[in-house]
Amino acid sequence: MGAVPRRVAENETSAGDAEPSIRLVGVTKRFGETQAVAGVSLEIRRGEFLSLLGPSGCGKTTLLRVIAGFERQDSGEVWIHGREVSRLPPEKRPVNTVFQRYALFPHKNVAENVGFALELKRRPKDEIRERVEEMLALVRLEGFESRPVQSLSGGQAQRVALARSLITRPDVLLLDEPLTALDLKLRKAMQLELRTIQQELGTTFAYVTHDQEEALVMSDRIAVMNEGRVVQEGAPSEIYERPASVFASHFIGEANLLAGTVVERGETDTVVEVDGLRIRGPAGDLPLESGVVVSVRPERVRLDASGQGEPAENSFRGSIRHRIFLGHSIRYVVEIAPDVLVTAQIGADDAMAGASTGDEIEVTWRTSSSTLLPSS
Amino acid sequence: MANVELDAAAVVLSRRARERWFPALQLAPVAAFLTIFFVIPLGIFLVYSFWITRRYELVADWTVASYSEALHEPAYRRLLWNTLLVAAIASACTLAIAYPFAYAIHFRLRRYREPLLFLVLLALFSGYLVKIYAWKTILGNRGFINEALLRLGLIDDPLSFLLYSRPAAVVTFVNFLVPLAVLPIYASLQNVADEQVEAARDLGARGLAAFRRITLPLTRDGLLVAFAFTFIIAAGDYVTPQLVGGTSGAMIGKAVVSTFGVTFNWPLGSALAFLTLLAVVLVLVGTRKLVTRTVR
Repeated sequence: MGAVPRRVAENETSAGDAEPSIRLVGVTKRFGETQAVAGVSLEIRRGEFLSLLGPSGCGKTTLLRVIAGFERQDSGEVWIHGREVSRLPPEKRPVNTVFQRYALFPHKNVAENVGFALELKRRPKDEIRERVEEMLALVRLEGFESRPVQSLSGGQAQRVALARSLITRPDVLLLDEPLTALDLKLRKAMQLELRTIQQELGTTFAYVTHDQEEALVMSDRIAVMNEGRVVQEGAPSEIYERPASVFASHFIGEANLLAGTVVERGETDTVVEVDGLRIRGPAGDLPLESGVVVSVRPERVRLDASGQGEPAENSFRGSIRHRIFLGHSIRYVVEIAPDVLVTAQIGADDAMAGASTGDEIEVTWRTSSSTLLPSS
Repeated sequence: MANVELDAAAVVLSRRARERWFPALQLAPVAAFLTIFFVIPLGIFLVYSFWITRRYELVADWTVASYSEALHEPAYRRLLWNTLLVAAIASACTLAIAYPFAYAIHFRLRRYREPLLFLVLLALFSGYLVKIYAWKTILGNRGFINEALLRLGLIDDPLSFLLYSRPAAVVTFVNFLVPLAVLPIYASLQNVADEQVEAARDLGARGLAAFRRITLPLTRDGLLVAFAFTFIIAAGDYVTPQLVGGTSGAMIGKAVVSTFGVTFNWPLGSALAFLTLLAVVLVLVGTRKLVTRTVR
């Protein structure tokens, strides 16, 4: 359990400049026997696109619903733009939500759905019409005003939901897996579109997703959640390159995970023994004899037929077990010791792209490509 | 070769014919039943309402005399008015009880949904006369309420207005109409997802506004069906007013029965029945218009 880093919301130095958009302090939420959120402290900066990423049941949606005010936390505080909203009902919070299944009002047409929030505020009709038009233009649905919402496709419905929740120009938009119900191609297009809209408006987005690729593509920052806690947060590249736990490296992107023991601690590197193989990773403070997991991204692993390629600290001889053609790249699964498999992913134009199953081959990667994680 | 093609064509043809005739065949039993046991008898009485009786015999002498008598006789007009009033009050009270109940089992008491719905069905199918007699014993001079008040020394003589009054008729109606109203309302609440209500709250609607603008319009049709069920049944019932209604709770059904059964004036009885039917239909259509215009 010691591997789980405690979040440091109390870290005053980083909160020096501007008040964060959202500040969560020690939020917990329990449903009967299940601890859905187990003490989350997290800050979302102004204008930031932050993804809450984790497997289903990790508490990310509950956390979002606590921020929106649909669920009341058992303990902890929710602050939005420097104001505590922990006890306010959803309608009093300056945040709006985009739901996974759109939640459009079926008895209202597109314009009535989008204009709902302004109509509640009894804004003049002309103003509402103008703003609705503006919002529909933003989500590229010009001319859809009088359509019944039942006639919309999934992508259109989600855009209407987006326009509806942005019309009041909320400080923060909460999105609960909004693209899950869409097909892959549309999802990719919508990812870019959402990101563009977010940057155009400068609205803070808190985006819940279980799709690591989506989080990597869209976010400024990612908070990885597992079992009700935030286990790591940082920029996408940071999380991808330096996962803080076996869970994070496994969940985000793909990784070769090799379990072993620290046998040598040098100035420049650490040596880990894995089934008799000596694997080098960066120097760190992992104690000798401690159990570690070496994580290596498949695209960091090179293949070399004759040992002529550029030198690398880790180099093992093995035979190709599987060759998987992915179009733009090729993935090889190589057995470097009995039952120790390493996956390498190389470009389709790589010199080694012609290697085939059964070939004897050299597998190499740099010391810096190994990430050493304490095994939990 | 040609044979095969012909067979294929025959198959296609028969499938198309089947697609066309199947729905008609499926509807046929119920259509036949309703025609024989509902539409034809109704048509016969419509014809009777334009005839007259001579020495207790029906005579095919076409006239609107029965209608004019029914409309001009103050007693009938009062009865018809009373019928619509009692039925309307009973329906309104029923919906006021049934809606919150259905709402609660849909949104708040999910864990108890099935047992509660089972109880509703139980109440729906338990005897209707039993319920009326139950109220008779509760409200009567020697009934539960009067006995309790007498024993407590709050009254010296039983309150005789409890039974044989308009409120007594309304209470009894509400008792057996509530389960009937719960079901269509509950069904229409299935259209309302938590997320839709949450979305309304999220966009700035307080609880009541979210209900008024989202939940109520989405359950409007269920409410209208429940209203139609309860209003039609209350307006057409004659046992309840007879057993607990007294004079202030008297309704047209009883008059129709005695016109047929006691004075054997079938044309007048039919005319009264058709006027009641017309009035009920007008009330339902009017309510529907009003509600669809205001609740949206």
